[in-house]
Amino acid sequence: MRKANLPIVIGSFFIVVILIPTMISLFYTPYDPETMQITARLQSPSSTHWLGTDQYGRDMLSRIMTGGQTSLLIGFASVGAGMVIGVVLGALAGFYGHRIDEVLMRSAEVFYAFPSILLALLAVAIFGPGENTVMAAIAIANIPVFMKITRASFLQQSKFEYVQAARAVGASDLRIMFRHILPNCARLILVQATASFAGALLSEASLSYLGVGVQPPKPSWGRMLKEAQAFGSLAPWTVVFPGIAIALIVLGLNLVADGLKTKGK
Amino acid sequence: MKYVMHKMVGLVVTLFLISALTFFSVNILPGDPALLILGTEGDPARLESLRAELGLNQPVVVRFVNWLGGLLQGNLGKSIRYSVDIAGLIGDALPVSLSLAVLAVGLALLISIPLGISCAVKQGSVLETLSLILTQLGMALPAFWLGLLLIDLFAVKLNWLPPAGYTSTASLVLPAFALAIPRAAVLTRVVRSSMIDALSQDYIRTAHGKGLARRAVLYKHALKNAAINIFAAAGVHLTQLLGGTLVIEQVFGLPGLGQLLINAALQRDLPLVQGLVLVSAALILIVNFGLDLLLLALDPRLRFD
Amino acid sequence: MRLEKTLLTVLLFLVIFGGSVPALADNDILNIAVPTDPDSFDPTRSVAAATAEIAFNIYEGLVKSTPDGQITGALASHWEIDSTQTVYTFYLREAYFHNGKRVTADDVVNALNRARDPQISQRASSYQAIAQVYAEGDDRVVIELSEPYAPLIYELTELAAAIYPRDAAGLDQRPIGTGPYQLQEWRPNQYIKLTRFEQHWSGKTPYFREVYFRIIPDYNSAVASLRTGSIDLIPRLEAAFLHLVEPVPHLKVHADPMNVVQLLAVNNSHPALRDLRVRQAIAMAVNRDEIVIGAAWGQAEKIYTGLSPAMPEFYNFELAEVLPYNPEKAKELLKEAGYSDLHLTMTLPSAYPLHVQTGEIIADQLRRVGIDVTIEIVEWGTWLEQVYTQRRYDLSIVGLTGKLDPHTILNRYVSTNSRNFTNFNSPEFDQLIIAGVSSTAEERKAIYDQAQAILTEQVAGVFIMDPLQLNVMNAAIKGWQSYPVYVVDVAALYK
Repeated sequence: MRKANLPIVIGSFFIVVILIPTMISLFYTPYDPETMQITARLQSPSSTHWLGTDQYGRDMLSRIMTGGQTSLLIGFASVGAGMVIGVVLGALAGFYGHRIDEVLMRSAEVFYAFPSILLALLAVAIFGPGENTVMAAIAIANIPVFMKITRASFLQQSKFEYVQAARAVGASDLRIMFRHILPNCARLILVQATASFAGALLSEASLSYLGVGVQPPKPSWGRMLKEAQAFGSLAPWTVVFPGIAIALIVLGLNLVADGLKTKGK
Repeated sequence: MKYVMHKMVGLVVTLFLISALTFFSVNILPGDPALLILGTEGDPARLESLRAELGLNQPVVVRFVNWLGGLLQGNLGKSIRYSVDIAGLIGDALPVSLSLAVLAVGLALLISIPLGISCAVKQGSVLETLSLILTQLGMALPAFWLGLLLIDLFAVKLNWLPPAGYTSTASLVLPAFALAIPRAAVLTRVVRSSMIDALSQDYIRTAHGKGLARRAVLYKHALKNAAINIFAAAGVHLTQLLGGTLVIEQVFGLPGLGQLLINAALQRDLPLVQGLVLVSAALILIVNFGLDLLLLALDPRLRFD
Repeated sequence: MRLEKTLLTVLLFLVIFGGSVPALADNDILNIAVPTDPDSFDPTRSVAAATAEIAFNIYEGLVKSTPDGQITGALASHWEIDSTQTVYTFYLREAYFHNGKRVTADDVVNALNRARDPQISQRASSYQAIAQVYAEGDDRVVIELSEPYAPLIYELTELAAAIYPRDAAGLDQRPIGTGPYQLQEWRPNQYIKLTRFEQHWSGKTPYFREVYFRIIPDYNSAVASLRTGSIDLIPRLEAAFLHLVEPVPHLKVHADPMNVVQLLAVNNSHPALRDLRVRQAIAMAVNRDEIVIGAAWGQAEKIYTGLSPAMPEFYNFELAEVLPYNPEKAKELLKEAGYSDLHLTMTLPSAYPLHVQTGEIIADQLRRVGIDVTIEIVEWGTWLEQVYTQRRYDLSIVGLTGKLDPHTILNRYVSTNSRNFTNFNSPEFDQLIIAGVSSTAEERKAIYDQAQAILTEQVAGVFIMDPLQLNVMNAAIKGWQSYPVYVVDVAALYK
């Protein structure tokens, strides 16, 4: 039992390490995260700037703290929405098969083959620029991914004896799908969710260049990483710290997801 | 046979839907190719005649029907951005993207299958913890940074491989690794999870009980069972890569579908966008179809009828 | 482990049979890295600087620019201008096209007539002053103007006025010119291959037999290729990447002015920005020193008006102190104008990182004087429609490509000009621009000095800097020539 809990403990620790500074940034940051001081640009970590400064002389620590607000919101909201919709649709397709599977998977394929750059340009043309647009775009792009994974698992699971058994005792379809089968697919879905979460944080940065996402001077981790592309080798702290922030939260989420599953068994 | 026919009809319907969706989407974007051709240095007085020349003053529906007509005669049309036949452009870019995608997913599988199995068999070991952490890092590293690190190490420092550009197949090795590493990270976890699930199934326990050799159990039964999930996940990655891999193509200067698509979309080169979406959609659908067949072969119980 | 063996076999197969392309690195082959493909090699269609840079080696006009911005004969050995300044007679030299045919007066007349035809040419307005073009015999071409137009001779150096055979078709992809290099092959997203032309009228043969312009969009990997030797030259490296080059001993940098005017475009029709005091306040809130460091990494020259100092004979050097950086004064002006809480949107083109970065810094500077600025980054197509064409914007940043003659650059701020996207409106300025085209060289200097002063005082925009063009190359490459226009003179290079 103790061993099974270890991943949860470590994972929660990582999540807390990221969440606490992000929460604090709601009412306090060491410096203003948006005000520039060009003369203090690209300073290495020191006692005045713990994580150094960026290309405009802004305090990296303050920007990473504040950037957590946007990045985490985008990650959770877009992947959460994409996952819920994708899992439900994928479950329906995999469980019922035939016509429903045909129609659902066909529409999934249409969305899947539709290039994400067009999706982003379209989103901004229709909904205008902003953070909600980027969340919608990432969520839509994630739906077919979760659909496919869930469908494959459901196809497989629905042939197992326990499903027949549940059916025999008169359980409703919905109950079988979400109480019996889903828990058995949860591990794979969560693996995909944490991968998508990391992907969402990173692609938000590319999308903000199309006017879809977080606009400067507001910080986000993905954008910080992307902007540092030119001078990362000159000032490694501009890359390393936002990178660690993303890695920690993804690692934490993964460990917790893993631990929950092991505990449930 | 009936199954294949049915699938083919479905494929055509899906392709039509995708084409229509793309066509009308691009049309509602701000900016048009004529405006983009003129830029800030061209003569605005030329705008209208240029639009007429490009056929942009016809109604959208007419243009879509014309495009479809051309397509039925096997003609994808001419690119506005590059003023050459689209078939040729795609023909050049397709092999690059295709080999890159297959190479990357292949490498990812090569890394992740043994690693994932070891993790599943030795749960809680140092190896598992270590690979867990490494795979997390692999996921969280943006593709362009991974690409740049590989270029710096293998091209600039060791001088083993070309840094950028497409001059020989060796040019594909580094980008394939850059694409494979984060995917291997995800796939390792898929393999591990599926194997743990498969190993805990009753029939595996039964097989153990029957005294079958441990290795045989592992590979014959469990892996076969896990294969469905592994191939489903690998299929997702393969199809994601088939439409081109913009970031990696840009970092490594590869002339793949991703570069063509971004240029076409940003220049509102509608015929080229249409051609690219059509081809990559067809590829995705074919891969998915193949995957379905593979899954059926792996587990005949999956057949509906 | 059968599965893995199969995979390994597939991979090996791919590696071996995946296709191959000829190897690089020969002594008389030059490899140049550029970030994008040209737009079109048809002189009537091309407007992109990325094309002019390459096409300079392929096409020639009647005249061409020298590295110091003077005009010299190209296909014309010399020319005469009559006393009315409206009749130009060009004397053609014996020259051959890449297809082996001799250049005739007929070819010249055809090319120039197409260049000024608004139904064909993207740059027709530059040649509006031409009334007619005709041949006199086989080796003389006469251009008659409807009124004197001093910029004409400069406009004739542009790619739009290049000479090609009368019967040429498909120039988009297959240019036929008279330059020292001819196009061999263009593979989009891969390379443009030029080979040297043995029959150039100058009788000189360039050093490099083959020249590849290779498309490498990412500057990190372009520099890596330069370090490993698979690339010899990167024209116009972004300044942010210079730190990758400086520590490498076998690389060198030629930094030249780019002759680009980067400006903060201020929409003069915006309800608040119509007030001159508000525009002046914005101009005084902009600290160019910070921008040159923060966005251009010190690799730029500050400018204060609509021309670049890369044109020293016309640039007005007296304007630095007209509206100097003074945030206190800026706040006062805003208060005086009654805009104490002004909110503006700055629309930035994502295709140009330098402009985006400049915009971020200016937004911060404007906030310090109490103007609240929201940044909106859009891609180029959207920018062209919303900002440039429809003029639906408050503030924006863009770079305008320099030309050899000031008229071509300043003309766009004339109130009725269709490219006047800042909606600048000064009758006095309009008068000066009209006067400028029909004046003598000495008069023009004074006229354009005054015109530039108006642009600055009345804030058509806030003119920020001319970024340096950083040409980075292998130290073995010699003969680099810098021009006040955007070109790579390949024929001058040698090893």
